[in-house]
Amino acid sequence: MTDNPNPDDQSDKKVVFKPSISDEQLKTYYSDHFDIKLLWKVLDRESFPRREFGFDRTGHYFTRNKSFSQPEDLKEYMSIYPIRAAYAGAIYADPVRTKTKKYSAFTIHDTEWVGRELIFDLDASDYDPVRQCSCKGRDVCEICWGLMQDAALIMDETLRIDFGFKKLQWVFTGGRGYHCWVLDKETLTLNQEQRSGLVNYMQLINDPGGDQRIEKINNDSILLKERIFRMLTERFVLETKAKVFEEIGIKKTARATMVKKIEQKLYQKIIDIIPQKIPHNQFFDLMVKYRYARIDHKVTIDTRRLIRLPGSVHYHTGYVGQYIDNPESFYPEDAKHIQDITG
Amino acid sequence: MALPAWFPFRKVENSVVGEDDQKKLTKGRVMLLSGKLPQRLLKQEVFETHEEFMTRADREILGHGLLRVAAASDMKVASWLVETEGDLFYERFKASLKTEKDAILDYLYGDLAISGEELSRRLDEDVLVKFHFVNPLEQRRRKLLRDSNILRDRSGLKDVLAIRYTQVPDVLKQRKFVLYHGWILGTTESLLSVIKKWFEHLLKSRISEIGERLESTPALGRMSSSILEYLEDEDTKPLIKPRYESFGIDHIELDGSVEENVLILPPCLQDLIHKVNATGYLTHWERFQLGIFLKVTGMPIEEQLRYWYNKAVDNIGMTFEEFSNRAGYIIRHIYGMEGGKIDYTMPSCKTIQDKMHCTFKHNNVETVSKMLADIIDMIEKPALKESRTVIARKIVSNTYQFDANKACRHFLSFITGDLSSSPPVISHPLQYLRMAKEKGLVFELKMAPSGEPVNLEDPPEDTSEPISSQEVSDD
Repeated sequence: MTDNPNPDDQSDKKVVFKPSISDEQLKTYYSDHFDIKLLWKVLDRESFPRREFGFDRTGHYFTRNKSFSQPEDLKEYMSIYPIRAAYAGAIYADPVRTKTKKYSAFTIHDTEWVGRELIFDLDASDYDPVRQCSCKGRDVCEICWGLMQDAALIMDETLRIDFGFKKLQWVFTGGRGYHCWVLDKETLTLNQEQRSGLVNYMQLINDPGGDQRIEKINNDSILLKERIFRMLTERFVLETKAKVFEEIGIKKTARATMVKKIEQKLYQKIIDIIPQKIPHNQFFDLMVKYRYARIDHKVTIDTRRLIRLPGSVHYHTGYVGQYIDNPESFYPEDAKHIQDITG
Repeated sequence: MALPAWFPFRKVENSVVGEDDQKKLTKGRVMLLSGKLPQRLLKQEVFETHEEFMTRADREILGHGLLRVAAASDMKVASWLVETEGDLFYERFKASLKTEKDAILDYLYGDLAISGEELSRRLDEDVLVKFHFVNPLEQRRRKLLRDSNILRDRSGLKDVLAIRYTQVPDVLKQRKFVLYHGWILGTTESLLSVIKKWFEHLLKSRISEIGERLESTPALGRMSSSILEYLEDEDTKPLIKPRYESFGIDHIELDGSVEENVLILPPCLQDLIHKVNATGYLTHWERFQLGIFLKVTGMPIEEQLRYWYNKAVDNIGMTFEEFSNRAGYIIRHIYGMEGGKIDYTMPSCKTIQDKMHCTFKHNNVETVSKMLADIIDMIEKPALKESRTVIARKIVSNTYQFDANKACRHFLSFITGDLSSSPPVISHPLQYLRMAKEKGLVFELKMAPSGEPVNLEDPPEDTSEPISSQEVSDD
């Protein structure tokens, strides 16, 4: 959490990205520093030869429909070609391949889909309409990264408590967000409809880039509702500008009183401060709009989608995508940078 | 746990029925489903002997089984059967004893539905108290009574059911129930509609399974035809009306062949045409869907038989005559020359989404994205390319949200260039075709050297392709 409780008086401390990366640095990173064994944290070893991989090879083209019989072959491929981005796809019944001089193509459409991990994507740029700092698009700073931390925190608990998942692996993408890999065995074969049900349970903001309509939460979803109040109220009150509260008629003085109650740890009293004429659900909706997780549902639902490979370098930032245990306290600057690794 | 006698998926000991009886049994079930017979539970009626009771129950179930066979070759009957059987199931399940309900739930869900008490045991936590299904005092009283063996019949107490989240994706979206450790929790009463929906889903699957066997099992095909004939009787015919089948137009002539018009066809039919061209095989209901479409757009039966003979891969070694006589059953059926001699009309989008093939309901999102990208690639004018890309995003977004009707509406705009702010919702393939015909294609496609539009099914020369934001996580 930031030390400055007054969001109206905050100057952004942007994360500085140092993106100029040479092809040689990329090759060196993948040949000398990329630990292929770390992939087993999220990928199943037995099905590795039937896993699809995709690559953006320096500025030339994007290619998918690639499988490797051994993990060492994948590492070798990434060490030979300068890889701007590496992705893992789904598992299929057979290895896939692109067209070569010797063989015709055998793509993901020619074989049976077997499974794909359940993955959630959080991206700071999806918060553009509500960020309280001056960041836009790919920029992130300590203030808006707090949104990522809150989102991860609330999603982690929802996935563990409401869905009962046990094996969650959070990954910093190297860019502007997090991926959450759910590795419980039963999730591998969930179909699109099941994944859609799951993400829609958690997705409360419709059309995040447009009208941002907030979905109503039925009283039976008591766990989710309670969680939102418990986890988001403090930061929402402390880190959201006064003019946002004015949207629903909460004046500066009332908000200042809310801040005081939070400082005194009297969280339950926050609701009492809301003027009687303002329905409580308006406050709740505002909090959801400004603070709740914005999940890129396409990444979760699409069972054939490619997802950035943990441990690979994010070309636009130079940061290495890495596993993290505590997404609620992680900052991008904590991540390893290719410049520091390769010198 | 024994299933109740009325449960339609229950096995009947002696299921061999003579032709005369088939008609009576079928008609009896139709009357029951249509409310022409009392729908009360069998157990509430008075029977002289247990045998009499079982005979009546068995006859009901045999009637249901025969209707399933008929439904396998007639989607109108299938739609009606699923709807009315679902309604009957709902009423009967609701009125069943706790033990009967348990047996049915066990049959329908197996381990994926358990009692609230069982969930409490598994989680080692009293979920009934936690989520206020019972208060702690009541819970304690129940435990004491059970421990002292006084509480045997639990009737009168609220039954709480837990269903695994994987079985109820729609319910998850609505957040209407408590979700805890991957189980949605509710009283059996509050979950009735959810259970009914799952029953209907299983019934649809069983009808489709029979459909897949129709052509390879001529006796089954004959049986299906004769039951459909019974259903044409004047006292049963008016009763078989699905709720969601209506569209003013039943016939639209195409200017030229289907292949020449492929881009203005509803996307679901485009998919099927591509699929049959590429693989030579469609599933039972897909054949029905394409077959009826070809008929209602003006293809005569002889031409259609020839179409399938040329496309299908399972007719190797068969002469055209042999094919027409044997495997052409479905086509002749579509033209009203088999079974109930019904001249079929095109099914609505609702039926298609339920049983057949809908581009935006049944295709993978990635496949939809690729299809749109391929069409955009074939557009020559940059401005058009740009505007189509915007619409393509909407289509993909609706597909992700499983809102197939909206996605189809945007696809029509994508193809025709009609960018009106509120285009009509598409509910029928012929509605789509009429509008697409009226407006026409908005763009000209790049032509292959042969002069034909590029085949969307052709893989690109080199599978390395420009990066697409639709394919990867953009993080």
